[in-house]
Amino acid sequence: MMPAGSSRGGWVSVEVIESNADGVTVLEPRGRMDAVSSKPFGDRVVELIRAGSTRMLIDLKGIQYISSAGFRALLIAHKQSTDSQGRLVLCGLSAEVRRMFELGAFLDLFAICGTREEGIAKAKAK
Amino acid sequence: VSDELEFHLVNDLAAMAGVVEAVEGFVAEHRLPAEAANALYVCVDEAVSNAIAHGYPEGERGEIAVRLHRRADGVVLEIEDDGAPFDPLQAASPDLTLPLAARPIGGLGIHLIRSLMDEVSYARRDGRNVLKLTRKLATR
Repeated sequence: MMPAGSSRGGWVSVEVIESNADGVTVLEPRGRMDAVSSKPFGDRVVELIRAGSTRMLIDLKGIQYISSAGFRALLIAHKQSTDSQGRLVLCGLSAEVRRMFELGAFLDLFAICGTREEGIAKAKAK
Repeated sequence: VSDELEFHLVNDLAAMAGVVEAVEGFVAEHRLPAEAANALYVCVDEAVSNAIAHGYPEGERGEIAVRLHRRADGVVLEIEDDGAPFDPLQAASPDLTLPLAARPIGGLGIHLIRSLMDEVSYARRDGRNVLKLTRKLATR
């Protein structure tokens, strides 16, 4: 586990569980994707993609809520993935998180799957 | 159960954890529905981080107040800061039709606030910015 939202007070608003499934890097952030935690999370994603983890699934099931800062991090990750000829897939959106994607008109722009299994299959597809 | 919550924090992102916890407590006490709770969390994050980013010159200490008020027909969220005059509601709406690679992120926060809340208003009062956001709820 890697604390991604560590602040000066030692408080962590998101932690990320990293694993690998079938050649796909799976990230499971847990907590909030807010103004504090999103930047370190996005930095970690970009770092992993640059290091060669071009097939990536971000499972959002443990996310309590996402604000515009979270979308900023996801947009930066998407750009890095595209630049690296990679594939970035999202899954595990709760009803409320999904609603935020809808309000931001991001539902059709990101590759989004219902389950982790579908997400892994999509991320590794040619 | 109090219908009012008032929380003060300094203009530092590191101080936001406290206000989030306070809002979580208010949400639990009032058993607010998940949709309204999500709206409050996102709007607090957008409005407070906005005030911190736009209101103060580098190194200047400021104070931000976050108030929640449960009314019979909804919940009112007020964010007040002593930073430079700044009306976030003047921000242009983002173009949501652009492809992902061309999407600017600026303006998304205020777009989310407008979408999540039923009433939004800004006032400059006694040298402070006051953003008032209301989310309607079924009458209790």
